[in-house]
Amino acid sequence: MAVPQHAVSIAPRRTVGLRGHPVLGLLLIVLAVVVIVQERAFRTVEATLMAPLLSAVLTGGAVPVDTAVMIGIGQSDVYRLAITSMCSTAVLFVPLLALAGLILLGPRFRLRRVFAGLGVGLMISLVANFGRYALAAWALETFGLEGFDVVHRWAGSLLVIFAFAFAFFVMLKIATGGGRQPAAKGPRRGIQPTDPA
Amino acid sequence: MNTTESAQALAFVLLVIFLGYVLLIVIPFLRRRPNPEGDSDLLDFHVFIAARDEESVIGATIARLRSQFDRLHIWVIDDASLDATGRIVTEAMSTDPRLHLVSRRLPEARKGKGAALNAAFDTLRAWLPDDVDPTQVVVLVVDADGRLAPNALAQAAGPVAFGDPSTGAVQVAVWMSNRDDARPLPGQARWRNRLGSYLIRMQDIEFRTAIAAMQSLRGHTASVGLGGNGQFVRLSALIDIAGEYGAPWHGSLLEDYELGVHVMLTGHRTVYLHDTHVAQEALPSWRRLLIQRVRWCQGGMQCARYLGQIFRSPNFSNAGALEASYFLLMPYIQLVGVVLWPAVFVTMVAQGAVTVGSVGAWLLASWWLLPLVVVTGVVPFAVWPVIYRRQCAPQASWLRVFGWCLGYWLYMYQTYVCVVRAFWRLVTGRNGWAKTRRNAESTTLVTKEA
Repeated sequence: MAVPQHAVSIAPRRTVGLRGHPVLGLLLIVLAVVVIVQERAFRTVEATLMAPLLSAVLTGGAVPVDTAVMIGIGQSDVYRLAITSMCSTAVLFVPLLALAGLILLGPRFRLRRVFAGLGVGLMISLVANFGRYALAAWALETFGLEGFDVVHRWAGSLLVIFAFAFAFFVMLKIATGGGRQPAAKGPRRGIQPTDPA
Repeated sequence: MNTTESAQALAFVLLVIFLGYVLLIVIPFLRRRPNPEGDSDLLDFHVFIAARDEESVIGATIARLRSQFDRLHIWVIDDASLDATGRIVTEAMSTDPRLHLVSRRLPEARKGKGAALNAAFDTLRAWLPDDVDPTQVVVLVVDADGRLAPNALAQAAGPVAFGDPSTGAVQVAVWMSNRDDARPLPGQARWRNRLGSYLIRMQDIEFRTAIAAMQSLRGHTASVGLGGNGQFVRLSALIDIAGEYGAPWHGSLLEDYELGVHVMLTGHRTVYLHDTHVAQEALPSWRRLLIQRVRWCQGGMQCARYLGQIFRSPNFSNAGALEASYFLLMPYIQLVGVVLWPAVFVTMVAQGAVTVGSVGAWLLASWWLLPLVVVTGVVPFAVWPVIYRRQCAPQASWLRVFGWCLGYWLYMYQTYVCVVRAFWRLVTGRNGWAKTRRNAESTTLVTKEA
């Protein structure tokens, strides 16, 4: 049986995304608080994720133990790399989550862009901090404690500081893009640049 | 995470935000291109000079402006001066038909610079013929000792400034006119003069690099702030603000920044011009400098009340709203820093001393912290004198620039003193207008309280 044809009116697709979302904003802020409260569990997850990564990078094996990673498994020297509260990626995640939550509380920012910015910001922070862990572990295995000290104290610190600043910038750049532009006001009037001739 | 670790984490985050902001303002500032000029004859410029007891400078300022710009209308607002300010202007008016005096008398007078400028605005509107197009009239606010660069009006008429009809206000760069004065305090001890000379140079560096860079960033975020000197506003924008908010200038201690916020809230663009400038006298004494900066800081704190309006306004870009928020919250963030930084430092030293046995042993074991402190705590300040040498003082030796770098880093610590004092004045309701005295005035008077 033929289906009767009707003139169907299709509503135009929304081209402008949702702006703001207080509930999601609050959820992000709550998530930031949860990360702070549960930072030990967060570090345990970090250690679990880091272990296979370090196994791939280092000569010896690596296994997670609570909030630390044992490296040099199968080698003569085995080290315990502890992820402290101050070294944890949680310190980088919390401000990004809180800021994204705060700007979603108001009606200005587009939801999709804020989440895209937050995702990229978190990824940059994660890669930078895991890169620092890996660099410190490699220096420890290759050069011993002195090598570890150099990376942990200087190179790693600077890497994370500047990567975190970059993550902030990128997050805000993405979140603020495509948003409101100030309205132009007043009639066009011709004040032309002076002729250099 | 215990309290100490939480404080350290917060300190780390604030540090990173600060470093990120510095990078954000340095890059566009170094990459900026010169602004083209326009035909200033296509606009009518009116200069407002708020003058309260300005006999020491007002005559020279009028003469200088007239010699530079013959078409300019000059409006001097005599705010119930106790000296010869009014008489000097009246005498000059006899030979200058484009010079005007707005006399204010007590009890209406001496209510702040904003009130004085509002009086001039009302007088100007009454004076202008009804058929004048307010979009073609530009009001320029200059300090009583302000010196405009010869290209100021041509720059203001350029296509990125008032050549664009969406532009409501323009702020030009600010230089310090006495930057090369080796003896800014004649008759006083040599060390005082050296200190004065140092303070003057630091203010010149601050305005021509760090503040200029902040304004350059704001050019990208469409949130340029206006200053009290070298501020151009289209008359139509002032009329819009008066229509919506009662008067163009309001009562904040930072009435210039407040005006900029209102310009943007009413849908006009603000623009920063770095290729022209207004020169003003820098302050050669710590005491006067701190009083001035406390006033600015308190004014910034007062302006934080606009955050809600800024975030709701369709006339601010998203980036502009965030930038303005950062600027307006900065004094409060610094206030947190006043407590946080020393607390983190003391805790770190105490914990370290307990762990290794003594403070001395901890210092020896922690020498590696020094390069990190330099990179994150000194370089962000020390970078500005290097940029200053490149852009403003190429003749300066590198040894001198090194001294400026250290000096500028130390100079910036005054903000912590100011922010505490400003906050105290804010919570105790002390909102009086303390006008900083001119260098040419008597040295026994530091400020003039309203």
